[in-house]
Amino acid sequence: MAFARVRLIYDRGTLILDEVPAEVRPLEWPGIAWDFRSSNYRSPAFRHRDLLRHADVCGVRLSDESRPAGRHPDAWIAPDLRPYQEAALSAWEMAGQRGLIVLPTGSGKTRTAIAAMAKLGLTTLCLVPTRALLHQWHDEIQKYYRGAIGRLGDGQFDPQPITVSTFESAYRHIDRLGNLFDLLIIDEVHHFGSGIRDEVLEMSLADARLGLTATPPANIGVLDQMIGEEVFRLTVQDLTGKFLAHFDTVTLRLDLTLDERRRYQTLISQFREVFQPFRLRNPDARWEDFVRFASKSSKGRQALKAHRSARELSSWTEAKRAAVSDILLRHRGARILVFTADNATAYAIAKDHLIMPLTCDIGRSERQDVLPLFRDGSLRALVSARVLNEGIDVPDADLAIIVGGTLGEREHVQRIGRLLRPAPEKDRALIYELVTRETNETFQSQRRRAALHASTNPL
Amino acid sequence: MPVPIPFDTCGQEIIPCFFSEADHPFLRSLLECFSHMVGEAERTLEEALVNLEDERITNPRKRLWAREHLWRTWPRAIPEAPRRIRRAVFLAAAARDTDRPTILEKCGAKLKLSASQVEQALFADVPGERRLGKYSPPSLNELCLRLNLSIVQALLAGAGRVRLRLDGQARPVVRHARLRGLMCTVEKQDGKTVIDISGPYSLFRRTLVYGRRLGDIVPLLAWCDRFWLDADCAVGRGQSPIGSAGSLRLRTGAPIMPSSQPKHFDSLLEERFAKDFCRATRDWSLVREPEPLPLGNALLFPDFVARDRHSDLECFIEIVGFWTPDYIERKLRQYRQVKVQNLILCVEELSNCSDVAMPPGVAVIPFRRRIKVAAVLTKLGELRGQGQSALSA
Repeated sequence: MAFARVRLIYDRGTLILDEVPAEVRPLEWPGIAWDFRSSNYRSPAFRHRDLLRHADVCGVRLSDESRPAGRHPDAWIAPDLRPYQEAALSAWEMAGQRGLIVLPTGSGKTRTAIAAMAKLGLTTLCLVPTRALLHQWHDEIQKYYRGAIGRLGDGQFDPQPITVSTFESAYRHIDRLGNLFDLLIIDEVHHFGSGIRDEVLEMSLADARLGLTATPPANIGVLDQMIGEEVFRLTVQDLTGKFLAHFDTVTLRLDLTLDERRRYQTLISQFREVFQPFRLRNPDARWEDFVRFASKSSKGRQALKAHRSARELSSWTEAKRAAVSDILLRHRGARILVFTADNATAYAIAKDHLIMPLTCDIGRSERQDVLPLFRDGSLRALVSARVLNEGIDVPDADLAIIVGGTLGEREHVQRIGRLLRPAPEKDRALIYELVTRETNETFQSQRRRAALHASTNPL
Repeated sequence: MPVPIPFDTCGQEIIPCFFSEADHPFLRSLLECFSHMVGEAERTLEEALVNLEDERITNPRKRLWAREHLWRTWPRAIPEAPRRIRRAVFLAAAARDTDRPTILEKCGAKLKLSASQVEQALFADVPGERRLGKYSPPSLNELCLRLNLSIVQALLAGAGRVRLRLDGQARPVVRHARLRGLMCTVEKQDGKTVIDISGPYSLFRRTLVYGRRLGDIVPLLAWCDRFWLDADCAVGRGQSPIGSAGSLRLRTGAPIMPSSQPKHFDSLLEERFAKDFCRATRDWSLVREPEPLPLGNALLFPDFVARDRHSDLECFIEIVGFWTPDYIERKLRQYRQVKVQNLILCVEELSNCSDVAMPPGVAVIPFRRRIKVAAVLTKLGELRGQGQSALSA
């Protein structure tokens, strides 16, 4: 058996063992299955490294033909790293070039990833969740890489040895692209691991994998197998002062007007009429279970609609309108980010106060025009619902107004992160949180604070 | 939030709620509503649609589906100005400490607009404010077919694999599936071609990565004489691969929008040969893409079969453009495997390998640009006379 030779070929997200001699028994290898459709042995592509190791142990010589020849990245200029970024990179390398790095927003995760690319010099696919981040990563890599950088997503399909892709585009094309890259970098990696779109990780044969996040999920689940364990973590508290700005949070508890309160109560009563009996019958049920239950009846659907309306009502009230006006007036000299629960509120604020909105509806080129104007002070405020939540680089805001948000604690930590990027002249950042009293927002605010507290606790 | 797919369930079976003539009144009023709103903002249309929904009897899920379909496909007029206006207004607002009306007025003066026009145009390109463009919508029947196709495709987006039983026109289906990176296993059952279509990765777990491609096959099925489609689809809970599954069945006559007709001939050469052949003889009938022949887990699709009108004799005809000795050898091996006795190969002389000798015992007719039908008929005549195999070797 010592001289048995087997070909290893990539086939649309899988690896095929070809020309297997009779004495080799691939079904005893990890992850291999017999494919009756094509009459050969097949394995998921992400098992590539395991297969090479196992073949070595069994004394089987694998002729690895899984990657196309002649794809090499161009030259890199290694970026300067801060000490903690160096430490993160070393930890990842020592873990066999696999694993998760957890760093707070604004601490330079992208730069750490670029350093990994430059150091390894491998063909790389960077996965990012949004189109806005696709272009931001492209521009950031361009500062350190001489060759062409490919983009997949936002209407582009141009795979290059160094390529940035949105999750969605990678999901659509991964069977064609899975063997083109040796290093996989996954930004905001907490989006994976739930079973949806995980094929992107499973159908790629990149052996080196780096996951980046500010908010790791409580249960890493399959990410451990697909990317690796958490290898490095720093929190906001670890970096505040030296690398991130200090911040103060001011929570303004605001009342509904009489009319708003009456409308809110009517909507909430309509919702509770369905929700409370359900809750009594199913004390352990999750919100998703209730939505499924309520969607089945017209009364349930009305209850859900009432809940949505109540939430909309409390997220943009007369008092919040006045408070936003007041804060904008009070801090005329500051660079301000306003976060809202939805796009409609963002446009309402934009119209009222003539502030530039930054939403998913505003095109990429306009967003690219706007961000430098905010950086150089030509625009003093931006209002956004979700676009700014994850990773968009806004380096020098010093005040945030959180008007509303429904996505919970992870979103909040990301939002806080926007403010905490270091700027030479910045002393302390200030965060205003507007909470409507005696509504679901009170509970949400408590949860956000708890999440921020948890994220500032060191390991 | 994604619009729920209109379907019912009966036990484990998923029954799509297809649009039919009964829905024409609703669809007509929906189209009228959209047509009347050309030039209006989306939010105005939305209000009009809410009123429309209460008056009709069509199933609420179907109403929502049709509404969403038209909303997505109806073009929008693209205004150029808002971006320019936004830039001017927001920069002016950040630069000056004046009140809002003054800023709007000053910007308006620069842009030759009134303050209210500036305010209106500020977000004229964002959802809700965008204007509906001019569009000539499909007929009601066509709209029904398009909607039904979109329902089936949405259901198949939650499928990991599809089983098809086809009567005729299997080749375009298999070709399309392969082009889209899917795998087909094919067998013959009761004279029907049974094709299982899945993706390579389906071997390891239930995955929805191929769902969209599986859905793309559906419009081709309308060109099969008869078809039976069966698929297990994940439904509900965002079509998660771990969600509950039901089985979808689709049969001949399902009211779905067909694709454009698959090409009958692979090339002009084949088309011309078929025409010349039919003109030249009445003794033989020529069938383009006859029933595929089972070849292990796959099927062999011959180009033509010539059938003698006076006996049971039939002879397969393969037209080979560019070729290599390996290719010819593989082709012959396949025909031997399916136990075909009579085969004529028409091979191009201009090919790079034209000086390579053909394997013995094969009826070969070389051609340049056009196949000589007389030579083919002579070979067929010889076969008829001999009554024996050309491939006996």
